[in-house]
Amino acid sequence: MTCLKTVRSVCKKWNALSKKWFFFGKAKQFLGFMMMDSRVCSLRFDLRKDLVVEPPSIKQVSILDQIEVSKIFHSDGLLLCIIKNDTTRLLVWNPYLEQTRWIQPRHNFHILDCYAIGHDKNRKHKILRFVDDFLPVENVVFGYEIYDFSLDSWRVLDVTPDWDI
Amino acid sequence: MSLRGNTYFFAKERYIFEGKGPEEIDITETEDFLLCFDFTAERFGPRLPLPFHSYYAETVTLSCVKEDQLSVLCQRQPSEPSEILEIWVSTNIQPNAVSWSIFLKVDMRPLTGFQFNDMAGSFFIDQENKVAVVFDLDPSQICRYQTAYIIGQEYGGYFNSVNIGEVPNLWIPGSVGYADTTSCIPPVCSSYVPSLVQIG
Repeated sequence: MTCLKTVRSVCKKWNALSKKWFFFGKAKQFLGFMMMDSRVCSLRFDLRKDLVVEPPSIKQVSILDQIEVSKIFHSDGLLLCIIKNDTTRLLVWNPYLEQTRWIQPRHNFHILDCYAIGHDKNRKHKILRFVDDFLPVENVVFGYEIYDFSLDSWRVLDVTPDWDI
Repeated sequence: MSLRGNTYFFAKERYIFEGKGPEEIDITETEDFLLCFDFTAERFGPRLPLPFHSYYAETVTLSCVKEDQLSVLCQRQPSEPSEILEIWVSTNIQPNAVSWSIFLKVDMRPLTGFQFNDMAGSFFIDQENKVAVVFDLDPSQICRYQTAYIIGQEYGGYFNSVNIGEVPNLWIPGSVGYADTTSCIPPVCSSYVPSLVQIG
C-alpha cells in the first residue's frame, strides 16, 4: 500500500464487499468460486444452524465474462485461471482488488499441464507448472518449472518423480 | 490444494512397466500418500501419510479448512456391502509432517447409493455444524444437474441435497460433440479469503 488514497479506496471496497458477501448472520456463509459453462462464478453458500438448505447464490463474474476458463486454482486470495483452448497465456485475478494479470509462457503451455499457485515465506507469489505424462504421438512429455511474480520469469526445476500426481 | 502458501497433492507410487505389460502388474495395492510442493524451498517434500489406504478408482479429494487445516475425503467403490465415506481433518500439517483426526464417517448406501466422481468431485466442511458439502452431478437425472450434497453424522445421519444448476452441453450416451460429464462438474474453491496482494 503506497498512499492513503489507496487505503481509503480499498477500505471502501472492503465495506461494500463485506455487506454484499461476508455478512455473518444466523446462517454460516461459505464464499468460493466455481466454473459453470466455462465461466468463473462466485458462489455463496449459507448453511443454517437448523440445516434447512437454501439454494446457493451463484453469479457469473462480470470482469471475466469474455474469457472461457477450463480450470481455476486458489491461494491466498488469488485465483489462477487456465484459459480454455489457449496455451499462450494464463490469467491471475485478485477478486477483491479487481486486479488481473496475464502470464506468458517461456514456450507454449501444454494441454496436459498441471498447475499450482502459492507463495514463499516472504509472501512472494509463484506458479508451479508441470507436465509428466505419456502421449502416443509425442511419447513422454515432461517438465517442471516455476514462475516468480516479482521477477516476471519462468525457471526450470530439477525434479525426478517416483510418483504420479 | 493450497495451504499457507504451499500446495498439497494426492499422489501414488509410480510403476515402471519394464518388460511387463500393464495387465501383469497388480495396481490395486499401489502406495498412496500426500506430497507438498514447498514454494519457499521450491521443491516437493517427503511422502506424507494418509489416514487410510485407497484402492484404484476410489474417490480421494482434498479440501482446505480456513486456510490452516487440510481435509481429505475418501469414498469406497460401491461394490462393497457398504459405501463408506470418510472425511479426515489434519491436526498438524507441515510440508514434511502431518497428523489426522476423523471428522465424519458415514455409510452412503442408504443416502446416495453412488460413488462421488473419483476425478472431479469437490467438497468443503463446516466444523461448527459438523457437516460436509460435496459437489457432484446428480446421476439419477442422467447427470443433468450439478448438485450439492450435505452430509452429517448428527441426528442419526443427516442428509440433504440441492440442485445448483443445469449442466450445459449435456453429454448423452452415444452422442458426439458434447463435453464429457467430468468436465462439467464444478470445481469449487470453497474457502475464499480476500487478500490485498498486488499482482498488477
